[in-house]
Amino acid sequence: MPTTMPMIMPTEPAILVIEDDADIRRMLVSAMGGQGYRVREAASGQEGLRSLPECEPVLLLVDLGLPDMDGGELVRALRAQTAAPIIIVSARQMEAEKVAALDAGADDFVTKPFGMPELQARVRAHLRRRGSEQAEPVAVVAFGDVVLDLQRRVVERGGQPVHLTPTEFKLLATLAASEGKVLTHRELLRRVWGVGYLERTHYLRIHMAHLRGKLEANPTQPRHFLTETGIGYRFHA
Amino acid sequence: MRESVKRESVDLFRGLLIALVACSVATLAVAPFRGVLLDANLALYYLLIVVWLTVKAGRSAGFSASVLSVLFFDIFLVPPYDSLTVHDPQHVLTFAMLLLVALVTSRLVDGLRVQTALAETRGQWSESLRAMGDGLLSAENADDVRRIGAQFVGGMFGATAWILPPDFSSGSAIDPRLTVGMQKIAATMLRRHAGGAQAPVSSAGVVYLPLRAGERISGIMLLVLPARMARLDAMQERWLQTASVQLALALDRVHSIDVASRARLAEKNERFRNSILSSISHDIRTPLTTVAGLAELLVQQLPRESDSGGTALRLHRAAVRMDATVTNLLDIARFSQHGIAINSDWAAIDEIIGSAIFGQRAAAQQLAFDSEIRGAPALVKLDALLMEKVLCNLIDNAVRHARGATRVAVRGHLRPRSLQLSVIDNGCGMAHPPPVANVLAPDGDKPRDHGGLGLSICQAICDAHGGRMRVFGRPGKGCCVILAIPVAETLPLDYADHHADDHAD
Repeated sequence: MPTTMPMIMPTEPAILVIEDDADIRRMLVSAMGGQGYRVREAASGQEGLRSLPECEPVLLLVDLGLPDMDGGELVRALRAQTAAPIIIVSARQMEAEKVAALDAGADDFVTKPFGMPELQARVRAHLRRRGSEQAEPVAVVAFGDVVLDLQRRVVERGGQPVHLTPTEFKLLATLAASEGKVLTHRELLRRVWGVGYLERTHYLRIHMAHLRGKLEANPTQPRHFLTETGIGYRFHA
Repeated sequence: MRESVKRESVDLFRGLLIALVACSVATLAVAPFRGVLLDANLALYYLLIVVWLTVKAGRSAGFSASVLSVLFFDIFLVPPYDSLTVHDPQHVLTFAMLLLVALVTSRLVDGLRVQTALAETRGQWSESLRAMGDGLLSAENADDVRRIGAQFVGGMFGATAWILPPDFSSGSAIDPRLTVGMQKIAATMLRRHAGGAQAPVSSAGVVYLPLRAGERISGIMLLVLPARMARLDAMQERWLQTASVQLALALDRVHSIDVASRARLAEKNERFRNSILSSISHDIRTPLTTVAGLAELLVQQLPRESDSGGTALRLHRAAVRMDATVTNLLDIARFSQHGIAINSDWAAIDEIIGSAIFGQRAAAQQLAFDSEIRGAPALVKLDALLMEKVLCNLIDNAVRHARGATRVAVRGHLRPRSLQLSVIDNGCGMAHPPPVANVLAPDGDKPRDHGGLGLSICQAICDAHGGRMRVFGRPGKGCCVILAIPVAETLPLDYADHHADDHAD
């Protein structure tokens, strides 16, 4: 049953954890609780959906292997009711399920066993991104020694202008607008090329390689344009 | 040819003798009544003798009896007696008609007799085939089929027969009565399996007949003919062919039963093994996640320098390492259940190397990673997830086993037809890099040491891609693992300048 942590003020932002394994759930609760969040627990997908309206979470942690609901289905149902970031918790070797959940509206995923500092950092990043999304749209994104001016459509690296083709620029702008979020191949192809190009992942890979070559210090150890093999890409400022 | 002529003359002589005796006795029996009995009755009487002889003693006796009865009739029963001369011209007609009727009747009766005998033999042959079929039904394995078949065929010809499996020459127990020459001929016939129905081949009194039903040759039959039989007649040959097809079908039947039951057993074992493996893996992984997570929370909460902080850190590391092992076990279960399904798609080499390093960086904080790609950058068609797994395992191996290493280099080199990936460390190295076994190879050496599981999964993935993996190392000089994966298709990166860009606005 959902429990609230009594010592934390109800004004704290709420995180909804939907996870069927009690130990992992409790661990997530203490990890998130220690960071100053109010944590609500749900042991099943149905319970999670029920507690969503009164909980009003700012972020959801959802297990993909729930016994009562398919992960993609649950994410779609949750997404219909809330705009809060959804982070998926999944086992390895579930790339197809992860992609389905991400396409259904999830923002990110962590793989079991996940690192706690990493999970906490992800949660913070998503909450920050969400905060900035609700504010006015950003015009300038800076990462590493690169500055991207979305209004002037100019990219500079170390003060020097970098030439990007229109597609590269569009791809960069799309990635930068969803900082920290995992974008699946299909999602990126849809946003940059259009719905007719969903299967042409090689376009995406080629432009990604060009972007890395132009903007990363070492393209084989990228710091900003991260690959989630078999799933998609994540931009990290 | 000469033998059959001889046999025919013997047959003729025997018939003549029998006819002579029979006709003499018959003539003697009616001699007292000569002049009393009507000529017509006597003629019919001789006709009866001819038919009876033909039925009993065959064509030559019938033919001889036809001629002799006319002669005896003329000499002893028709006046003037004891002379060939005939006074009444009517008698000449009687003799001529008697001879003609006797010859024709004897011919017809003989034909019937042969037909009956043939039908009887045929009945016997087909009965024996049926009996063999019945016997073969009870056979449970190929040895039974061969034993029963040899028994029936041998019994049918009153001879010795063998049925040998196709691989008899490699088998151990060969009947000493089989000469080397016979074995050689049999082996040659098995190798040279001409299409269509096989005719038996005879050589030195031995008949060789391959057993085949459909495409597969399931053995060869050897029949040592008895001395009185120089060769098979057409019917025996046909019978032998029918028997060989029946035997081949029976061998096929037991073969497919054998294959099916073995496959069922193997499948059952495999399923059992995999279900255990995956349930163990799952049941371990869930609590392991908790252990790793809680240990990490402790690391956060406790001062790093304290004893308990260090303990928590070690606990976390152990849990993460155990998870890596469970992952390897799960991979093996998955690969051996469904085989390694290669899901090839366009992949960028830098992405594979980059994400492999990224995934392992947390575990190797004190190591520096070098990475580079040589050759023209391009997309290659391969299974990126599997390749990443290979690189992750190799990097993990270097991180854990290369003592004293400060750097790990991951290099990609795209050659015209292959992609070479190497993972090099500058650690302690090893004197004799062990041969790496493919963990999925059914009879291969199973990995024994700790690092072996990950490496042998790499080997299995590499094998599935048709590639090669080699491990080099020298004491104090570090280790190097080099993979060469054949690449059929590449896509140069400037492809985009002509195609992919056109479609964006």
